[in-house]
Amino acid sequence: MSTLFDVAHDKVMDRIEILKILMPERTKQFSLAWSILRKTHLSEDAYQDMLARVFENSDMFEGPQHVRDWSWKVLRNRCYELIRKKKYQATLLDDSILELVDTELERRGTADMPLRAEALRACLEGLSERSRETIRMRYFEGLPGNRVAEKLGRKPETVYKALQRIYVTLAQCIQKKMVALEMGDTLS
Amino acid sequence: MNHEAFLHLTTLYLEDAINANDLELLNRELANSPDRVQQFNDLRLVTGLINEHGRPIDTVSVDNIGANFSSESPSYASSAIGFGRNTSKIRLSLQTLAVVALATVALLLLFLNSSGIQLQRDNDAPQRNLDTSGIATLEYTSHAKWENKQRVEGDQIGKGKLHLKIGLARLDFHNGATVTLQGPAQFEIISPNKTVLTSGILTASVPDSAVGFKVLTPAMDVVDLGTAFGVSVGGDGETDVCVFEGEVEVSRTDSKNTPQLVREGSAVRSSPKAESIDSVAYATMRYEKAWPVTSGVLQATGLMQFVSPGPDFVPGRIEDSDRILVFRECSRVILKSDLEVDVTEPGQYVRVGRRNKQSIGAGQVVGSYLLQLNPIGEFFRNETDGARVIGQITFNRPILGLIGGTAQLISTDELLGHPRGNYGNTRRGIEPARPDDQPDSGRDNVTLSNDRRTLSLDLSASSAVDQIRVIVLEQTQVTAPFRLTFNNASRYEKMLSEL
Repeated sequence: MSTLFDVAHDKVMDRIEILKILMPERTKQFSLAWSILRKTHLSEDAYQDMLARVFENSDMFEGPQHVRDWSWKVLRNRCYELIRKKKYQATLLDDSILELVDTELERRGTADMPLRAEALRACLEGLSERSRETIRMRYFEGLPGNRVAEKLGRKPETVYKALQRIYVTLAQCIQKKMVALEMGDTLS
Repeated sequence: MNHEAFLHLTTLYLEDAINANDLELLNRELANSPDRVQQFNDLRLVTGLINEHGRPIDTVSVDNIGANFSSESPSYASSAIGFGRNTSKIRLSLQTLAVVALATVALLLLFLNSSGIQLQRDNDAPQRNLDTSGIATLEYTSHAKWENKQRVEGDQIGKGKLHLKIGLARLDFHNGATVTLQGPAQFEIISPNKTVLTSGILTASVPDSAVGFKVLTPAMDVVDLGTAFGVSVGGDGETDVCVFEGEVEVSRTDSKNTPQLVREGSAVRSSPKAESIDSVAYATMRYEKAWPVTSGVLQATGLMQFVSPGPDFVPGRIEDSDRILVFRECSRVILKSDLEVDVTEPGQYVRVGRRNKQSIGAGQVVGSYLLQLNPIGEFFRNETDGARVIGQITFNRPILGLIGGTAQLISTDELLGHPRGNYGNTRRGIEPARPDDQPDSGRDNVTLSNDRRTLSLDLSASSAVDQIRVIVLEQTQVTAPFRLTFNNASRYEKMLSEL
């Protein structure tokens, strides 16, 4: 059985270097993909496709910023491509507004993202059981809001309101914990 | 538009439930206010964080032997109970993989390598604590923040208390024991063989050289009998002990009763106010962050997932169609002759149809890990732009070699495989090149980093079973009689002189 490897020395570390550049962007980029596709598995597909495209073109990059800029463009395009391919109807903001909000998201720093992730976990524990159930169904069972409403025996509008409260609560809680951490407190 | 109404429209938009009129209102609001753009993205980022980090670690669907598992709808209920004792097959969802694994990459790389944090770390780097009376070395940390004192990797840790506020920290005791703390945790080293966990989580791997290693908690004393285990102490002192390999003795704190033996795949619980130590379901979820670090895998990221600790989580007993599973197979194996492998040098490799064997020299003490992707039935060849499985794994020890061919995998199963693994006789390894694949088509790429500790995989999801055996160096030269162990599951009480 011939199942061996050949060496390609000229590309040593390319992918590792690229991952080092792109992984800090991951949460922001996933946020972008999810806000277009609204489905976790599709967003992950788009993200993985983007990574593969970047790898395939590793020899064209002139530096880390080039990789970052290119990856955002590829990811955005891939999301729209998926929508077209899957004939998926998604309501989107006007193009000019999308550019506005996406640019702001892209420019955000990533240095505190690990702490935000830690903070989120702590904040999720503070949610009510019902809120956690809503999150679980919406995000990890991949159910759209109306299906979550059906399962919970509630009106879709109630679920959207609940999600709004959850998002706002989590955003505020994360911010609070980040401030507390800066003051030398723990996240717990 | 008031703030509440804006948040509502943003939520409806993110939920794809916004009507045309409201969408127009949202467009206008965002166009006219940079603050609104920020608020919009604040919520958008929350959705990204939930997707990536919101899933509890314990959302794996598990059942008993013979049952089928759904990759969909992981149950909180089942996860709260934990893994079944006799699990034979586990399937994990693509979402889990994506959310947990790649997120971890982001965290690691951000911490270790992204310029902002790295620079800050370098500038603020405290002096290494060179305590000559050290009992352990702070071998590795991840996002670790300590109470009162800054610590850096390489610090010698002597007797005293450690308060890890957040993150992971691995302590390599000089007697051979390895302990990984998961913050928040309060831990104290009393002596080389005696420690105290007042709160938090730890996982430990204790070789023969450190048998008798103790972890005291508010509720129980845990004495290692040559094993790997996890201890978790809650705020009220309630203590859980979960034995991954081998066995431990537990006894109530300050009790003169005969200690209880806890065997691998078992777990017990007690609290300071309880009068007994009770058996509980074997549940490893809480240890799944710390355990890979104890096992020598500092990070398993991308679509790579270190398997849960326990006697049932071995090659051949777990399948996962979506992720590259990482199994710890064996440790402390002495190579009594040169070992033929496919790769020994750093570089990027692609599949080709010719042999070019290299070897690892005899006399070295090695450990091995199996990386496995088994996507049968999930993808078809004609999915030309089909999914790839990309992942990266970083070991705490240098990689000496990689084995990717079926014949070589089979021939090394006995020496380097898990003693309980069921490797079967089917074709394994990185599949041979297909006629329509160019050698540099981007499929089934393997990259070994220059420092030999990081392996990046880019596997075609249309491949058959893909396996790579990774051989890491544990000790360069054997200079004294050395006892061999295989994961403690079936201990080889051989001495070097017997070889």
